Amino acid sequence: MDIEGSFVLQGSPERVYGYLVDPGFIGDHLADVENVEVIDNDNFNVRAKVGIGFMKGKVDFKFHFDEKVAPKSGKLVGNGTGLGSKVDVTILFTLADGGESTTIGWKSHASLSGKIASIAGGALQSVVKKNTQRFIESIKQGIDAELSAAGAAAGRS
Amino acid sequence: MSRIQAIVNGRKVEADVEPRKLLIDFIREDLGLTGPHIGCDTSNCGACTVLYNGRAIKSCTMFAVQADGAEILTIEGVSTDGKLHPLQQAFHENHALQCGYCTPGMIMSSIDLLTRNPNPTEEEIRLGISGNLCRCTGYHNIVKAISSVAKSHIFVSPLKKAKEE
Amino acid sequence: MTESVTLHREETKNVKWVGSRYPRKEDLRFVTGNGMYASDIRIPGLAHVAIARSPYASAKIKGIDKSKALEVPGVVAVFTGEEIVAELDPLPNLLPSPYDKVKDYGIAVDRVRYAGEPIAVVVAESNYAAWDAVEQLEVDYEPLSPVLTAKSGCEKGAPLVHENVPTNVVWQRKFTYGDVDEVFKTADLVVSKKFKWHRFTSAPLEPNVVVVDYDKRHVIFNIWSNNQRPAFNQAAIAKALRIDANRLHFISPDIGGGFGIKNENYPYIILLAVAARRIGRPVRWIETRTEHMVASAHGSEINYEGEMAFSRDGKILGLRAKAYHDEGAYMRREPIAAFNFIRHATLTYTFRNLEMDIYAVVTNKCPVGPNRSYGKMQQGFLVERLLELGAKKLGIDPIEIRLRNFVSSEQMPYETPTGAILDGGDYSRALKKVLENMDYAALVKERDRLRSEGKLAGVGISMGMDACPINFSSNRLINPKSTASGESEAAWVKIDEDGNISAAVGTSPQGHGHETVVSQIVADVLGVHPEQVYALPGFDSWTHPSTPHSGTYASRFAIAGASAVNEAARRVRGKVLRIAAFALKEDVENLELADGSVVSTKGKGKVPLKEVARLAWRDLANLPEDEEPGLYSNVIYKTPFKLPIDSQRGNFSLTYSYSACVVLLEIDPGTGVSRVKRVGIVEDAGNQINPLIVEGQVHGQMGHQLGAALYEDLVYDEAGQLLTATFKDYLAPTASDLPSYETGSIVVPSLFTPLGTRGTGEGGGAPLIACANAMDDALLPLGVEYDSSYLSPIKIRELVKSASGK
Repeated sequence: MDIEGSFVLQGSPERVYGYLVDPGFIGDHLADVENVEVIDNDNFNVRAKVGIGFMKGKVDFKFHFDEKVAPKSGKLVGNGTGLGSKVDVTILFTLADGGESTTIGWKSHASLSGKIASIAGGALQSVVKKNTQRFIESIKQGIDAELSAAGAAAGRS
Repeated sequence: MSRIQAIVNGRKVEADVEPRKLLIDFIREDLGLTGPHIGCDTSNCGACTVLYNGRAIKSCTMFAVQADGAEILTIEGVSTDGKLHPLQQAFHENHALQCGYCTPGMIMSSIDLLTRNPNPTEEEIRLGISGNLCRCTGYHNIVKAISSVAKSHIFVSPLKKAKEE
Repeated sequence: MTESVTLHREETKNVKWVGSRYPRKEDLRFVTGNGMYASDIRIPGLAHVAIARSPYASAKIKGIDKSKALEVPGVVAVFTGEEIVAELDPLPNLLPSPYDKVKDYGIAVDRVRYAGEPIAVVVAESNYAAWDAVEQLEVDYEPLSPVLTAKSGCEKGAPLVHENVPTNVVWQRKFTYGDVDEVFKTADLVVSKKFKWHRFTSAPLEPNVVVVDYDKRHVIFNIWSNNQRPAFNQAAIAKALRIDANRLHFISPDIGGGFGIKNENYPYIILLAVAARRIGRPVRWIETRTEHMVASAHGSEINYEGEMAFSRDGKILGLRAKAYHDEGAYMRREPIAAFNFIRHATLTYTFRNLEMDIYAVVTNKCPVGPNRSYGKMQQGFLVERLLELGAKKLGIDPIEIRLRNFVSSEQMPYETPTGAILDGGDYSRALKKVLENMDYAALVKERDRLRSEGKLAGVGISMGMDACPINFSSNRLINPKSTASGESEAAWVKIDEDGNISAAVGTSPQGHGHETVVSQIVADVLGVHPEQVYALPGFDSWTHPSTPHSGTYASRFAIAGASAVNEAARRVRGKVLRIAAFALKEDVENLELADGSVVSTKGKGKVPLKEVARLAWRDLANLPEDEEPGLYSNVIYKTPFKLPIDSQRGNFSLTYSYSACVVLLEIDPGTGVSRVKRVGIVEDAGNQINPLIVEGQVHGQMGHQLGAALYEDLVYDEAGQLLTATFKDYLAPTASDLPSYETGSIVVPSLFTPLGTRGTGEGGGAPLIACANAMDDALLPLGVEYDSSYLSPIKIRELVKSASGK
């Protein structure tokens, strides 16, 4: 399942990039997260709650940054297991400098296999889409808030 | 573990159960009543149907702890006085069963149906048992069996009987 | 409580029990909830098994970490595929070299080949704990790209499903009969069409269950399961377990439906046997519905490219087809479905020119296995669909074109081009009867009325044929190295010293009512009431007789099982009469056996059966000199089969029951959803031992076939995940989805069986095919044709939309 999109943030790529490769920040914005455990700068584990139809339970993800080219691009890879299933996610993002702003282009590829894929059947596509969009929207708002807070703080000082 | 008390087939039972234990597993594994069966994981097939406070329910959709204080009737409690219930007799005479796996659930749903609607049309019978899957008979003879009981007005709720005793 | 419950029966005297609509003896335990299914077995010390399965359709297993799983409270043991396989040899298959090297252990080792394939066996104190531990198993996979259709599997450079054989096309043969090229060159009309036979499964309501207790003292595996032919499968199981087959003790108690699928649970028997031996405790595995749908066995899936040649007057001149079979990941009984076209390749018709080009291709999907009307309904679909298209093109009525092509009853027994010998029947009478029963003219009127209301509606007709049982010499055409031929069944009948009558047969029924029909047969031969005959339930290899062909599959009971029981009863009867003759000083010819006594027709008195039994077992000095004591006969009946005629012809079944079916289909053009408004069928199963049970089998075929045509479809996504893994998505029809059935029968006894019976039960797919033909009839006014055995609402809605847009 492939989904892609882009959004614009007010701020330089250098400032935005830091958030995008911060395991703690990313983990906080994933949808339906129960627990995030940051291991180091490149690795973090996430326990997510999953509920599709009558299937409810937890999926444990291992995330790591596979590539980091600051401040241009990055690749986040996640492998989850749980509920008799595997969830493999890859998120690629690129940053384009627009002077005052940065355009963040993203591409996500998710594949689900095992019980969840089998049982939830057709419902999956929309669930994955919704969660991915929520994640991106949450990151966007999160960085926005952090940047404007930082800006306000800077202004005050 | 939670302590539960229930009346099952007219008998009082008491047990400690794990909170997540399904009612069907309690009935089959703990009480040893293997009449109700398991045919799916999604509450579609109805093989596990029992009467719960007089109404047909799929016992795989409930937890054992929910049986606390309830009155439960399984297929094992349907025949009384050494005689088959009219529905059981009709299933036999009309060849309304082959492998017999769906039969206990099918009969419990039929009891519920005829209790609420003693004179169902064919369509109402088909709808009434549409929560129970049968893979052997194609339903033809099951519908015929239920209909024959309704038409001859010999249906008596096994619950009423149990209460009178 | 239930012991005292009795069945109320009408008393009938002096009737022949065979042929009567005798309600079943089995019913009492089933209607009271006292059936004994494999999941009802209770053994002290029982441990519970859950099976961890692959989430990927194709992947390498790089490692399995079971440490967390072993920490789950209540876990007894976790065995990975590698650990299990260390104690096993691979399961045998039917394929010729080099494809016989395809390795199949029933569990994956370093590579998974379909989503749902077992990868580890978890044993725990409870089912709940076992599943908890499965969740904690950490498996490192490297996903590979899967092969998901037969056609793509044939392509050059396609990923190999089994890397140790050269291609995914594991079996390929072209069978040619007559002068096919010539008739296609000179025919007045050739219709050609690509058809899809969709994947579905009979999905018995009881999932697979296996319980194994390893008896170390006697070196015996006690195996309770719902396998529908344990005696048949025992050789493969013993070979895999590297032990002698006589160390396997099989018990199949009551079975909750089989339909072929439950031939295929033997790989689990092997896995459980290893686990039981390793932990020294009895183990039980109960398959969940999801597991059943994902990983038990599916019916076959075929892409046909077919063409049929006709003369102007509607005679079929020839059939030519390519068939691409998607076999799934392992070849357990396959390529039988792909090969089974040969049993009645020309159906009820007289055409002599035929070419079938068969490709059996392995893919990364659930393995294909036997499924009611295994490979037979598929051939019926190909023939009947092409015939229907030909009739439309030629402007000949669909009834008329069938009548013109039928093998006539005067031609019986009739040898078909593939060497099948049709054992009698009257095809035109069956077709005419169903049309009469249904009032065909009124049906057509009703169709037209529906059309005038803006609905799509069609009437469809189809013949079906059910060839049975299996002459295993047919395996020689699949693999020239095969040395099998014929088939057999065993039965015993015994009258004990008190005159009690028992009988047993090796068929392990799954709801077929064999206890009843065995009782009827024995009752007639021994002159008693069926209630006086105790027919042993289920199958137990230590008490029931069996042969390597025993079991209930391929509609074989009415031939092999019934004949074996009948002969065993006849031999006991012969002995009863000889002993009575000696006691009465009367000639055997002057004796009759009726109402529980042997009576002299010449007035020389009578001896009760009980007294004959006492003489036979306890008063041995009063027996005739050369008479062996006891009243017992064990018979192995050999179905009269021959070797193949040549490398592509032979009579591979003994009886060919057939049916004619008519449906009226209504389709909502807005939603594409079809509904069967009326359906009728007339079947000829020859002499019927119990017409009530035969009718029940016809109803059952109807339910399965209409379900398959209208609701049931196994759908995989582009990653090889089955999307229809529960009854929420796999729409097994409910009572309100199906109509009532207008059934009828004609009886033309089989020319080749002792009782004139034909095997029946599977049916030949006529209701499903009639639905497909009805769909074409419904779409005719729109000028479009339909191409699949599954009447997909989505596809039909699109087809209707595109046609109305023209």
